Amino acid sequence: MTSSDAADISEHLARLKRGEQQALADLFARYREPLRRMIDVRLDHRLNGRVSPSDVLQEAYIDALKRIEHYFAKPEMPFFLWLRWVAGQRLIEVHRQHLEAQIRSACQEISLTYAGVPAASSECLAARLVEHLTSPSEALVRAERFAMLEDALAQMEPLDREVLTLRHFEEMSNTETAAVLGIQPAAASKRYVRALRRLKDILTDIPGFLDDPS
Amino acid sequence: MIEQPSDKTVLASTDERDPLDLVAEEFAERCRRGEQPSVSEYLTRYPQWADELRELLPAAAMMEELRRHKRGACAVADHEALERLGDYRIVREIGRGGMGIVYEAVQESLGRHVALKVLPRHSLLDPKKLARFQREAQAAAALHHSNIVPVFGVGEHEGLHYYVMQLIPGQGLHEVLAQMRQQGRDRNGTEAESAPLRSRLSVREVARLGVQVADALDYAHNHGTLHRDVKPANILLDSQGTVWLTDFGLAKLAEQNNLTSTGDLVGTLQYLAPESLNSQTDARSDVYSLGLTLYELLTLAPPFPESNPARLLQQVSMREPARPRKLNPAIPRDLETVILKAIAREPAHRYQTACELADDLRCFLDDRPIRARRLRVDERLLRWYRHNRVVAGLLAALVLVFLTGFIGVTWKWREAENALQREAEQRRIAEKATERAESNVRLSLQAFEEIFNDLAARESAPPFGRPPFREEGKEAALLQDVLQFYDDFAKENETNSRVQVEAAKAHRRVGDIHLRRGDADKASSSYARATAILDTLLAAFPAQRTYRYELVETLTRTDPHAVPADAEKRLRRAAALIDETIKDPTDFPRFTLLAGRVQARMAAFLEKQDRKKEAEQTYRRAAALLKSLDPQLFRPPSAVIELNHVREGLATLLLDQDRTIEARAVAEEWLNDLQKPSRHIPLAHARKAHLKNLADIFRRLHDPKRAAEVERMERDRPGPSSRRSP
Repeated sequence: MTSSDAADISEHLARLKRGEQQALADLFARYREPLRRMIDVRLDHRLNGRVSPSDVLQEAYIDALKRIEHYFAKPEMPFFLWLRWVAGQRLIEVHRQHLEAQIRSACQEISLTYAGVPAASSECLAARLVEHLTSPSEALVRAERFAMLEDALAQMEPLDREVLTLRHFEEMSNTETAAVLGIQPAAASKRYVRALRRLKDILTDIPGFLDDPS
Repeated sequence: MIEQPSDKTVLASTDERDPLDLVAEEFAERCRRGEQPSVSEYLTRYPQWADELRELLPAAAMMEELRRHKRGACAVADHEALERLGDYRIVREIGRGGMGIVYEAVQESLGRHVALKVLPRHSLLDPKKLARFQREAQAAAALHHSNIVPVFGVGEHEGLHYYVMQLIPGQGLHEVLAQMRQQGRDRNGTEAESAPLRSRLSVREVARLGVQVADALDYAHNHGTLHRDVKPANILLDSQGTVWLTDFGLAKLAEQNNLTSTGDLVGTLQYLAPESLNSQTDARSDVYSLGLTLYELLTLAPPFPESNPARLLQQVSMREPARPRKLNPAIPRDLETVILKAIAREPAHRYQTACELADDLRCFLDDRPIRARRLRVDERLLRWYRHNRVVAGLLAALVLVFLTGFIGVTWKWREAENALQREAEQRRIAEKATERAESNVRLSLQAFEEIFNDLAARESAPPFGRPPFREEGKEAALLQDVLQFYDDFAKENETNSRVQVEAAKAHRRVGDIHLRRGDADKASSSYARATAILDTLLAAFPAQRTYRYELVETLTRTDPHAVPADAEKRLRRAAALIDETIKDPTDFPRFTLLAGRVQARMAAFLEKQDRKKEAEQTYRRAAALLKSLDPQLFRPPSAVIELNHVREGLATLLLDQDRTIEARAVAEEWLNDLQKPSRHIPLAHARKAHLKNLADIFRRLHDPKRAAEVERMERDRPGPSSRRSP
């Protein structure tokens, strides 16, 4: 993010503060892609076909509109992270509506959220992998591979998994990652390197996983 | 876009961030830009961290690989804000599938509403893929059937490719299913039946729907088009109750383009035939997928309830879904049978065409007997047994399971017979039940007979009039179970007009087993019961050759030691029955064998009675009959074994009278036959005993050289399979 971007954003925020709703729409459009990525990564795949990510985005926009006062009252975080938090709250709500029983039983709401966004479950991540199939038999091979990867991710500490998700899937910078996780950038950076190393360690322990050319 | 950091910036910022993080970030950035940065390049650039980077960069690459997949799935969403495509004005989005988003649109030049399926941008950049897409679309457009959504054509506008289809006002069956499930939950929860949108589809509605889809598939198959992705989401139900099959051939295209997103993949995999995992798809794979769709509509349960793709694939390839009636007892048995046949794991066990499936569903709807047969416990037992020739204790347990199942059938059948007398409406049902019960009974008997015969062939049966041998261990336990089965069966069905022959045969089997175990009294009484049943039958139907055959067969099972007076009478009657049934038994090899056996039994009996002359004649008649059997046409192992006994008996009889030349002639002929290799495993087992008997005969002929030669034949051929006929 460049400094001119930052200036642009604060200008939009100022307009928004004056009550220009169009400014929020513009800001939202600007962050649409990363927000969309967050939802894609974290929307429970059991809801595929029932809930579309763009529905979640639209509702998140309305939520943001309603809550914008709160942001201006206490602007503690960068605006993007606040929007991401709002969208995350909406996503939790969507999960609650559709998967009530499961969520309650798994107690996912509190323990597995980071900055108010549902944690990316290892299953979600692995499911993302299988999309790229070229033939059913290849899909089978991939699926086995992804099942291993899923296991690997599942074995990781939630925070490690989250760091990897933010850095790779949500394409966040280290600074943003640190802000989302509420830790210092230096700590986030160390954490990321450590998470990568652990992932590699776990995968090394799976026979044949890293030999596979695909 | 983040600038590629120079080595200096990396080194400069180590105090703030882990330098490895910065390198990994740059590496990931390059992956994101579509480059394929090599790990070794980085090792050369940063030799001081080579060891760490060798570890970290592959992991980062892997995470980026995952990200790419994720982005692939999002590609569909690129054109959500679509408002117009050429001549088509988009009205609203009506669904998302494996190949893109479906919109309702108005074709303005014609003023008609259509469904537009818009493929993701960039999905058809490759000219080969584009050509394939157009070919598939043409094939689909050529299908004109009242249950197939008509395809008007394909189009392209500013790089977006789309499919134009007739707009069907209705719901996908996956939505219908979701509603039915929801209502099921509501009803269970609150008892509140607040005007349901659509009540549960009745069993017959599902069957009717199945007929329509199967007809549509059959039509398409006959036009050389496979659907490849039959599933609830691709079947639309309109307000008239008509179903429409859509998305022909698109599945393949979607696979080739990596367009399938996770949810769709799971949706597709759930209904995928096991053989499709190896890319072997034919009409029967569509039959399978339709079968699973009907399964789900009937049970409201997905056949493979697994949302994790990896485990789902495993289930599809390894498991069989639970029986539908377990999940919904209201499903009629016949319909369950049809579904189970449609979703058999082996394509060869399924309906071979969609037409056959449609026909059987129609039979079900018309209350006619269906053609599919239930795969019964005994068939599975038999399949298992065929693959596990070693008799295991497990088999005994299975037999018991099977027995219970069988008694269940009989009970149902009686129930049906009572109903027959009560109400005309129920008659057809009862008849169907009876037919089924009968065929089941036959299957059961067939299964047991095969097991029994196999056991019997392990060793040659004891020569007639010789003391029986005793089974040991597991084999004895198994025989006990088989005995129990036949006994129950015989008692259960004695008064039942339709399977009396089977009941008689069961009694006979019981007798055989008793005899095998040395219980002659029990054997006689079982044989007597069998005889009585067949006598009655034959009196009612004198022309029935089957009854005669079975009666003769039963009459030959007489133990001369137990009831000598009775034996001759029974055997004479058997011979007479054969004579009056057929003028020349050699025309009917089955009867020839039977006649030979009757003569052999008679000869043994006469010999015991010391009626030597009669015995010799009878032995010779028996030998002639048995030798007349053409090995190319019909000469089962039992005939060969019987002939060996006859020869042994005859030779012994002749030796007893010091007629050595005649005895030697018999022995030489016998030896000649034994030198011919045999294909039959049971014969190979019996061979040892036969050679020993023949060697004894030669010894009694004072020819120890020949006897030794015969014994060498046994040693030279240790196993049945070591020498083959050329």
